Amino acid sequence: MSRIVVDPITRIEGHLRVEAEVDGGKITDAWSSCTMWRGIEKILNGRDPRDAWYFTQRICGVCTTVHAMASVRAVENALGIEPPLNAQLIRNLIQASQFVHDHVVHFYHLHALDWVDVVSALDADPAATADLAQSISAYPRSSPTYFAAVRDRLANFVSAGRLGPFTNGYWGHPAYRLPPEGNLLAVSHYLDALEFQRKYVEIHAILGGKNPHLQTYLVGGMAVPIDPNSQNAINAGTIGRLRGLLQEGLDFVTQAYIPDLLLVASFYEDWAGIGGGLGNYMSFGDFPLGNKNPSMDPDNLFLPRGIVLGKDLGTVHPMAPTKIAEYISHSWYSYEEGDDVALPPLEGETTPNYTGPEPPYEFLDTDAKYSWLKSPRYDDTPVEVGPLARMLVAYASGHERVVELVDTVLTKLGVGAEALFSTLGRTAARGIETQVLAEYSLALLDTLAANIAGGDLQIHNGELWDPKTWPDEASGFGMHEAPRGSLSHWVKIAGGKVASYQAVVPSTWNAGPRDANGRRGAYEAALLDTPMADPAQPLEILRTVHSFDPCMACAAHVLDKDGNPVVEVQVL
Amino acid sequence: MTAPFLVLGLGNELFTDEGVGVVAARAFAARQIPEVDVVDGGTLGIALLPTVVDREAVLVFDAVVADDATPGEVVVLADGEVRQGRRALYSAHQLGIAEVLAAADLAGAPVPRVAAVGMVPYSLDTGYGISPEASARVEAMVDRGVEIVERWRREVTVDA
Repeated sequence: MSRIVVDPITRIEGHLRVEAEVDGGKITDAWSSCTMWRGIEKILNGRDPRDAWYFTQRICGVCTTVHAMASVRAVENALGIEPPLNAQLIRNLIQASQFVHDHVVHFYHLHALDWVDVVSALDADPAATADLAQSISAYPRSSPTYFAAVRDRLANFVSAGRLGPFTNGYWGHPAYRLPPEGNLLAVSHYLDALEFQRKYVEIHAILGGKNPHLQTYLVGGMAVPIDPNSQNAINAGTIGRLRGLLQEGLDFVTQAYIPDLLLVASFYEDWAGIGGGLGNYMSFGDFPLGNKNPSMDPDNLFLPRGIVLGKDLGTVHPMAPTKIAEYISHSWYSYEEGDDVALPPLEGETTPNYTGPEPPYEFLDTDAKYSWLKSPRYDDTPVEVGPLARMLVAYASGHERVVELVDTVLTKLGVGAEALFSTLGRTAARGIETQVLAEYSLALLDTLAANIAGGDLQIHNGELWDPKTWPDEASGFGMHEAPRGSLSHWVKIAGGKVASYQAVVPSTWNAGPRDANGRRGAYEAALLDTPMADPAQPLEILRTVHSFDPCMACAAHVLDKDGNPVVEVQVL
Repeated sequence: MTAPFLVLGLGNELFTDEGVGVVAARAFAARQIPEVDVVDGGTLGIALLPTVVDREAVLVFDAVVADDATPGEVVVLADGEVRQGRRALYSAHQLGIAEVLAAADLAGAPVPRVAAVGMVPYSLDTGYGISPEASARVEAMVDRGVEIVERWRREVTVDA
């Protein structure tokens, strides 16, 4: 038996570490650790709750918008503020386009490289690649000339020793299975995804003001002026521009992302039986259909709220925010009441208590505390969050478009619904969700345009803006589905200031350690039974961990059974 | 309109001096140098690609660590050092900016000139705002940045 360690290389960003035991070519146990304490919540104490979103959007380095949204909702929930419909629609639009952007970037720029051998693309025949491309999609860039140009550009890069973003791959690993033409096709679309990204972010520039950090969130609404007669506001011109950008995004998803996903999946169908994990899935639901805060009106959401337990798609269980609680038995914190209780976030405590080894170290003591993440549980049960959870809850709830797309994908791949509970299912669910939301974003824009045309220009509800109108004490929560999964912010307000603040982030649900009862978190469970072709190149671990879309770069250090480093490979 | 020169402040302001690059970029903006966009890049990594492309040159402000360096020291990284992602940049996006530049190159939109000005941090504790010691050194960072950008502006003829 040997223990594999996937550990960060950077001191700041790298905060995910996975230790896995391998025996007989399979993972027999796994531990997920966050090796850096953030404790950002404490920065919020004493601040004006109306400013909290500005600080919380820096919690995560890469998904800023989602923390702003959850924070604004938490404060609105605490103070009983309802934003106007226009503001809700614009929030939904920002959110939907954020999903499309993030999922495309994740697929092509991070996760595809777990399945696509970039160096093998150099051996591809451009004419055969064109035949392959045209057989799976109407995507316009599909000529032999185009693929030859991409191959030549890539060859120049490689011959100059400049793999750039591809430097860290396990190229030539036996677990790669696409033919050279499939690899060249994917690399071509990797480059096109960069172009997609360049254009698509203009949506956020229009709706969010100063790019790249959005500046237009506001408790009670949005700070985006709506005025059909002004050049500097949302008007017919900006709506037309948004429609063009959203349509281009949808075209890229329909013609490139989805066909590429199906192509890759068809070569890796065994991964529909690997990486299933907990089998329990939770979605807060999101995209409120009216102007109510989804914290208050959970039945009126485009993506439904609910829980699927034990892979049973026949029953969607209701989800109640009061049943969330966090353990710290294996986390570097202490609770006043003792370390084996679970506390709800509003009563949460963040008192650091590091008991781990002094770095540098070989292994964590995984019998004791071993992570800076807490272990959130729903109704005392570990659950997975993210695109797969959202799509399963929507599928089991009978969401028409989700059912249609999931069934289409299953039919095309010739697999049953049980294939969804897997690493491949997680990756496919992300693509399906992207399609659903790219379509929905256009519907949202139509609703916004119709509402404005009908004369409703209200974007902010300022009735309760003045702290003098607030109660002495208030508390609330903001539920939000971020691209990576269920996110909740919990705030207590006293005397007009933040008295306590807790954020339960998607990565905590998925990457958290074992709880007081020894039950594994989602990553830990998903890694069980994963086959390892070559423990010195833990590509398979990365496939499953990346299928969750972790938000940090990490590095793989592989140790032999005596704890000696045999290879050190940095991994995106 | 996209200006020909970009000054990018990187770092996370929630970890004290980790955010020194963002603070320096803000101070740079106050100098009001023409033809320059100043952007708070935070820790966005690859998401910064759309911001860096279509520029004549990009200057990065960041926290930095270098051998034998002492806190407060201002370090200038030349073009190749930034592109190689030399492990000197200290922040969350440490590897990010080199990857962004390489991705831009691969996508057929290379950034012709790059440089970075970093400061060795005094503190990386959790907390909003940089340390008073770092704060006292920000203008020195900005001075070095202004020198570089002014040199670029003399070297590069920008089509109107």
